[in-house]
Amino acid sequence: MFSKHSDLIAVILGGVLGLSILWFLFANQETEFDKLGLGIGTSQVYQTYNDRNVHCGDLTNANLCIADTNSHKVKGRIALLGWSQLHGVNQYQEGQHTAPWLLVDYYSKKNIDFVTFSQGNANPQEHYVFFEWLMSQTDLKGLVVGAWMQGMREENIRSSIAIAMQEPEVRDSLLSTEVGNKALQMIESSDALQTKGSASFQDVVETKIVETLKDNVSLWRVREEAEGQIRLFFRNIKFNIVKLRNILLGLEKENWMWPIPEARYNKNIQFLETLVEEARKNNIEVLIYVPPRPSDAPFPFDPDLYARFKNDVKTFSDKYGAHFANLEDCVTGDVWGTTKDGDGELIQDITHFKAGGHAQLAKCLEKEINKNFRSIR
Amino acid sequence: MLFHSFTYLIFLSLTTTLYWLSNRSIRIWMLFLAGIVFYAFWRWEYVFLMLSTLTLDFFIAQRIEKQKEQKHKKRLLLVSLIFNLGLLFYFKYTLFFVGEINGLLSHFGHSTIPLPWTIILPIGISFYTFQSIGYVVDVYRGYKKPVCEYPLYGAFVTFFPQLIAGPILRAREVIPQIDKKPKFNTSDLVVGIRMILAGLFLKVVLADNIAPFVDDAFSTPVETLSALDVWVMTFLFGFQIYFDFSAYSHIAIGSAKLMGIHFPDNFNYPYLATSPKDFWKRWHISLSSWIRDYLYLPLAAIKPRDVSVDGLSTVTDQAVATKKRLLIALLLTWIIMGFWHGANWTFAAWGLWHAILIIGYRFLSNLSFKPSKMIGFLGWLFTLPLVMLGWVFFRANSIQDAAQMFGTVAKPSSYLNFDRLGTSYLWELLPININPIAYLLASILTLGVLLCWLFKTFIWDRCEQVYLKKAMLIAFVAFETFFVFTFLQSKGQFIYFQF
Repeated sequence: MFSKHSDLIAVILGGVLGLSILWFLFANQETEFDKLGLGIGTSQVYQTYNDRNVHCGDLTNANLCIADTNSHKVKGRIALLGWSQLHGVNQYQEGQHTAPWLLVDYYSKKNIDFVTFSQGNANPQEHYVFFEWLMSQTDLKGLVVGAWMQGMREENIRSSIAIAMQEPEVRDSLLSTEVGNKALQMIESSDALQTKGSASFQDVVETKIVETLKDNVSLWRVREEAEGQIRLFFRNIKFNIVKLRNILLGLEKENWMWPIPEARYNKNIQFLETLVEEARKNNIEVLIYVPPRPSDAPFPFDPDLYARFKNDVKTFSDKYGAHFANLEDCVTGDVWGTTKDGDGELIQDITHFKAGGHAQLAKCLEKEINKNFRSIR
Repeated sequence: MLFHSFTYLIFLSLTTTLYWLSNRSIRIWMLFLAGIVFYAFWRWEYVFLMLSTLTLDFFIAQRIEKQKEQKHKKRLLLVSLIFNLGLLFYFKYTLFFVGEINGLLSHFGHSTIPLPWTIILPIGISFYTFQSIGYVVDVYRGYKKPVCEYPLYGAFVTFFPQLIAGPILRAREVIPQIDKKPKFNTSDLVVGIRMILAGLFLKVVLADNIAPFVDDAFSTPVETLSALDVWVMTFLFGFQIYFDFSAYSHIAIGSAKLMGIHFPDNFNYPYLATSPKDFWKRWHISLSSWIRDYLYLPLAAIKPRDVSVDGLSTVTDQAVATKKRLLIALLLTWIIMGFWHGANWTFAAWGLWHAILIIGYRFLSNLSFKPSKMIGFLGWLFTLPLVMLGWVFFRANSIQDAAQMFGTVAKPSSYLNFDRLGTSYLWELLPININPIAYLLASILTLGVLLCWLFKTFIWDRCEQVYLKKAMLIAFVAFETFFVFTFLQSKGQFIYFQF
């Protein structure tokens, strides 16, 4: 009897063992993985203002900010598009405020709606598509957008933003520009939209099953923790391999730079330029700013390329009558966070700062907006 | 329905239980209905299209059998071919050819042809169409008696484990198994569970986690890629598509096994092939043998003297065909094979690439090298990169991109940053423009596949200690369960669904 079914017993034992190990290793852990992605001690903070949604991410929740924005009679509306610098707060404590919140607070007293949308590692391609969606949803008087060097490394449009392309109005706007056409082609040849498109019967049933499992099976809830920990484990291995590579190839932090291929740079800058051009065509005042970075930390980009980047942004800002502000030195003092670099060593974070940094950034932006945006005076 | 979903696991458990509990007529109807439900989970309206194909072929096959004159049989076969291939052409190639014609028209300043409606490619159409055509051709050739029961034929064409992405099955191999329920035995159950688990592991743990690196690399502008980048990208995509597609086949074969139905293997360590010909005996075996039996042999005017078993047959009369005819048949077959995968010139170029490899191999074979381990190793050393390089056509965004990537690989100066030779840092010599982790991953995967094969051949297959083997089995299943349970989510489709 045993020998006849021994393989079946072994398979059942294996399955039970696998699930038991999963439970034993991860059932008692609860890691906040979002924080880890932002750097050491940096939290993701999307604050509300008097219960109003004023700071949102991508299209999974952006309509909340639009709904709350539209419900007020105001002089004008300004949107700020950014990345994790706006929702990442180092050493965050209850009661502290982000730059977006402080700007809302300041402008609400002037009867101006201020709303922020930021996504981790956002790139100009995503900002352009998001902006077209935003224009289809609400009237804007002003647009503030960051010219972020790190974003120039990025490629592709995440599905939670690409889904905007399914809306006819957004699609028509995109079709009217060269880069919009490119973006549509790129997305239609990938499966980014298919996964978020109209739900098949499979999607509906699968979602129900997953929800039921999530609510009723404890082991199910361990999955997320396990997946995160496994990915972290591989990230640490990667750090060690990078360290080894650096030793073998004589690579040092001081001479390491994040490469941005020429064609990718050109593509991203074209998207950023089109964003500004389209906004101006629609009579929206635009402030485009170079974001703050710590002056005493190495900046891992080719200095010539960085100088060219700032110059390119300034040139097309002037061309379309947008306002350019270099806020590189806006955030000073001991407010910058800490993160791990490519080989896992602790270094100064060049993107995220503490609440004090948010206050400084809000002041700088406030000053530039007040100086340049005539329509809201 | 997606295999890597909890919905499928529940559906499979229910269907398998009903299958073993029901009598013959209920069982066959149940399998037929299960196939329809499985398909309808994607889009129910396309079920009718599939039913029209199988209904027409069911009746045509019966009429062919009743005809006495060959020309009448041929006419009926043509009706089936025109209907099936017409549908396939309309759904799969209309947009492509209209686009190409419009390109030409606008080039010469003429107005373009408007296409006011969109065409959605019905999932699995390439697979079930081929399977149904194969059945009619077999009846026409006299290899198979037509099926008299509609639900039995319906259960064969819509048999859910293979409905959407194969393996492409032969009626004479599968219909008798569906017709007469095999005896339940636990070894089939164990093999079935293990195949499904292995398939899910390949899909959700390996293929889906390689995908972001591949997508990222292939979105890098081609003009900035170095030769090393292109090689790494081809290897990475080669592994992604292998894991993804063989995962589907594993789950299909495992699911059928749970019902005691045997499917032939569809993959057999293809990246260990020692020649291009050997590769096609190991990769998507059911398609390559189908193409050979129903396309290549007729094109080459070779009459098969025997029928394929388990997807492969070598019993043919090659001597009757001229070299020129063989060459033309080979080229045509491969271009059609390429187009079968997708309506794009990149796929045709991929087919042509393999045709060239096989022609080159045939030429070298005529030089009469004696087969030896050394020749085998050298063969592998050349075959692997050539096969991998072919994937450039499969994955590149356009034929121009693919051509540029091939150009980069062929240019010696794109292997090193020669202008940095005087630099003090070694790393500056390496022209790496994609994520460096992709390089590491490609190396690990190549080594991993080799180690897996070595383990299976020299340890697993030779292990005679029962308890040791059971302990290894428990460890494997535990390992796979751990990762599959953690990563299982139906977020992406199988690559071969688009074909």
